[in-house]
Amino acid sequence: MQRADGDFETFKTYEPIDIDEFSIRDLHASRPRPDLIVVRYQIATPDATSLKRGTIGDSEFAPRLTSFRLNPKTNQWLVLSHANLNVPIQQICNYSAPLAVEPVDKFDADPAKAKLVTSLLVRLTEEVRSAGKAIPQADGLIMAETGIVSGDGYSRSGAKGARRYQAAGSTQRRNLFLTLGEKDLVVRFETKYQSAIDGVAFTDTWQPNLATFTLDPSGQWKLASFALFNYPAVPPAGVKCRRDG
Amino acid sequence: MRQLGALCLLLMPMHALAANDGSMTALPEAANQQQSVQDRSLEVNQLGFELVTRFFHQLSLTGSASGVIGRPKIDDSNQKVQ
Repeated sequence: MQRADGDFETFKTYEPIDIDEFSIRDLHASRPRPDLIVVRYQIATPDATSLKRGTIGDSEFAPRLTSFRLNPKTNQWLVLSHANLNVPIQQICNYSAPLAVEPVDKFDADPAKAKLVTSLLVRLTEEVRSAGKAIPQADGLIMAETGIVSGDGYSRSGAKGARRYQAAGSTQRRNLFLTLGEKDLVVRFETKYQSAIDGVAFTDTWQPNLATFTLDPSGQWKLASFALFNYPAVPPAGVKCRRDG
Repeated sequence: MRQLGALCLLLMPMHALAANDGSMTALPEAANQQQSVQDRSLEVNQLGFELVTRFFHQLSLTGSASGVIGRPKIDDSNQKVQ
């Protein structure tokens, strides 16, 4: 679970945002496997507060990308991965955060897992972020039903939307964290690269990514969802500015 | 092996229907297949909406930490698992 405020949570460390009410719109769901649902949507959560950071998020609609898997034993749908692209806009004055924000500095030491993840991320980088390459591969790594969201608030489905990506220079990765199940793989990592979407340059600083892969019946790992937390380097046209004071 | 991160949703009856703009991308040529895909897409969107609604409903109900996830409740006063 990755948030735009930088917090990364696992099953063990998860502390939810304090939410009073919510509204949902623009929901698009896909089902890469019968027991896997990927949902990208916009949601407004007025006054949502991070109890870790003492920050209040934007009350406007912001993207989320959530995948759910069905537990066959309990017949319950479980949250497998969750990307929250709502950004904090206020800080509670004199807030003493009771919960430490732990840095993400883990890399799974298992060589087999590391090799698998590295190969998948290399493909992800090459095929998603290289203009055009993902287009003919609707049945490949980037499926038509892949859910993708990025920090500019733009959401898309995989094969069609991948055309928007352009990358220049090399991509650097760090702080990789993975959790591997029988048929699911969730990877959180940070990247630093030069990129642009439709001519809008994005920041070239370290930014988190959250990718969910699913194992298909043929034994191939495919991307089910991908959230980028990078954002435009300069405010897009149409964004209003506000003067301090 | 690291435990697969999974947050458990408490199941509860829902009565809302998903908004759907029919934007799913599969494109079979036969008309009946197209209709079938659309039906399936609507069904998937409805399920997706229901799951997201349950998820955030649980978050809004519990307010802060424990209760929405499938793990033992943590007592914040002593940081021990109850």
